[in-house]
Amino acid sequence: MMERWKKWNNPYLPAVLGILALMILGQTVTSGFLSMNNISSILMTTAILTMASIGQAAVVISGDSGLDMSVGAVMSLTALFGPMIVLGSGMASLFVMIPAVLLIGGCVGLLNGLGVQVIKIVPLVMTLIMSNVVNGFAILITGGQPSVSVSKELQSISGVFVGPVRYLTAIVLILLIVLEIFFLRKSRYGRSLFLVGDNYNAARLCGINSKKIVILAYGFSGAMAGLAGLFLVGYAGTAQMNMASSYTMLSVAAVVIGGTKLTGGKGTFIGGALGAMVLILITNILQALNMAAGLRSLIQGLILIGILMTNSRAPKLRQ
Amino acid sequence: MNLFKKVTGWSAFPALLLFLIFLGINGVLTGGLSVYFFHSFISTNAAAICVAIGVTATILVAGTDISLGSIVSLVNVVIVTLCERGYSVSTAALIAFGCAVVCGMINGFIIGVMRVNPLLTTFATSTAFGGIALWILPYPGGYIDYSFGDWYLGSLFGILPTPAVLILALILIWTIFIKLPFGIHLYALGKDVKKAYASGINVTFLRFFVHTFAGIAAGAAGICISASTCAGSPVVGASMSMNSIAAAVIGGVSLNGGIGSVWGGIFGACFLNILISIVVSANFGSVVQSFIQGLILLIGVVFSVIAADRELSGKMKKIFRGGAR
Repeated sequence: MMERWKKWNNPYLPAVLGILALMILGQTVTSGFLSMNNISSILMTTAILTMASIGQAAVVISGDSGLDMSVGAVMSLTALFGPMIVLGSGMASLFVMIPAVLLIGGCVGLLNGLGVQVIKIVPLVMTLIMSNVVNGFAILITGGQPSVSVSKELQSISGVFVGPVRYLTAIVLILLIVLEIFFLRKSRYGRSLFLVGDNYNAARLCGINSKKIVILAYGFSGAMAGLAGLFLVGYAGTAQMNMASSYTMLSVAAVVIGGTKLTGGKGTFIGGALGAMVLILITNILQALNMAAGLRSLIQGLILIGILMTNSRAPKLRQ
Repeated sequence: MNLFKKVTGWSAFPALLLFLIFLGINGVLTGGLSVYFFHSFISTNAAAICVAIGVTATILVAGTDISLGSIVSLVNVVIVTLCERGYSVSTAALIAFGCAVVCGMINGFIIGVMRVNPLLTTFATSTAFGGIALWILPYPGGYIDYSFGDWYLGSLFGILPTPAVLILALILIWTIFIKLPFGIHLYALGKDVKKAYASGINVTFLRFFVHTFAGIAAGAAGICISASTCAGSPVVGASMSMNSIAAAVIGGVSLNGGIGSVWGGIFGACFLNILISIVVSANFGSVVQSFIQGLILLIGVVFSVIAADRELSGKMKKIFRGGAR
């Protein structure tokens, strides 16, 4: 009995229950919520947020109150710059775009990591300021009025693959599983990341270069955010200044709902994906109800507070 | 010499120095520092300074509060709406101030009693408070009677400008609490929660109090910004929360808690705002401005963190001494 309960009481449980409850709620509130079309668009936006939350999860796992608040800024940046790469054929430019956005994001992330580990600025502040710099840079280059034309090949990621699953959803799902298993769980780097997140000094004494591991985690987060930005612009079809700024806190919330502890050393990418789905479902239901923007934001906040109060309370100080 | 060491060792000293240097630069650029300049500087930036005071208080107990900007917007919106419904300005301001205190208490309850991470809590509550502000006043607009603005630009006893009085009142409240045994408890809590709890400090109450104080500060900031603009906007405080955290860090307040003082936040905010006014007056063009602001913010934080890092500054001292020999 106890064993079975333990098996059930895994970190994914709140997110899975939340997804089921929200789907039922959505269907009762508006008919056609679970239609093929709506589900496929929910999966699409979830996939984009999942990309952002994968990077965020790596940084949170790296410990020492690690957070990447520059996710939204990096996404906005690559959403603007990615489509600017134009080569002879559309397909060729798409294949150059992907390493390019990974590189842009990775560079910003590495700068974050250097600031956090070498100069020892607290992650929250370092990444916040970096997001200011990145936003300013985007305005500087585009002159505040971006004129981005998204190529057909890039837009085709929202084409239907099979059933409600579109190309992007499939790509992200495969990436998610590959990264979870072969990067986070099985690779040497992934194992060291957990060790460093659990106890920085102990890991260092065991011969792991803790500094390098954490810096690379920030670089990884930036690269993933860069990719997410490219997906976002492919899905949206147009680019605007700061179009992804809301993704920063959404990615943090997704990671937390997915059962990753903010103290570091524990966590999964798949949990982040489930958390992303919860958040997207909430937004989608509120939009379907045709509420005023302010009321929607209020309810979103209240739901988030509710989730936090049930899901991520710190243990009692008295032991 | 001893006094010199004491002053330079003060956690808020780098921010004060930066502020004074850039005040001088600004004076050179704009041609002299007049009393008028100080008056206008404090009346435009009083809101940012108040928010910085509130955030500093929460950071001292190893927390943070990113919902203050939303509370400022909420206060602004409530004042405008009540004024348009025919309430007198002072009643409206008092009611809005009460709202801000309640918001702070909600934050304090969730963080203190429910023990949820402060960053996430205040992110969630900032969505909620910002949502209420947007719900009440979906579009910028409305207006407040100009007598409010006149009161704000006036001065007490002909010397102290009203915004300075508000800031001083906040500092006074905070200083009184710091002088009580309470103040020591606060720093102890910031340094180490578990040890503080084991020493019999009431952790729950302290966290609740600090966030309520932050709410009070945000309320004062909301009144300041409403009076200086005399108009309503649901996103007026949006950029304030993040800037105030940066201000506190520049002011030598450690985000790990327990180090720093409320003066650090004040000087940090002053420095940031004088910087912004220099960048604006230097005619860089609006496109370059935000990038330069971001860069200078980064440099300021790097500088103040290195200055506060004993180990790193010790190494630098060694290098300089070695060079002298």
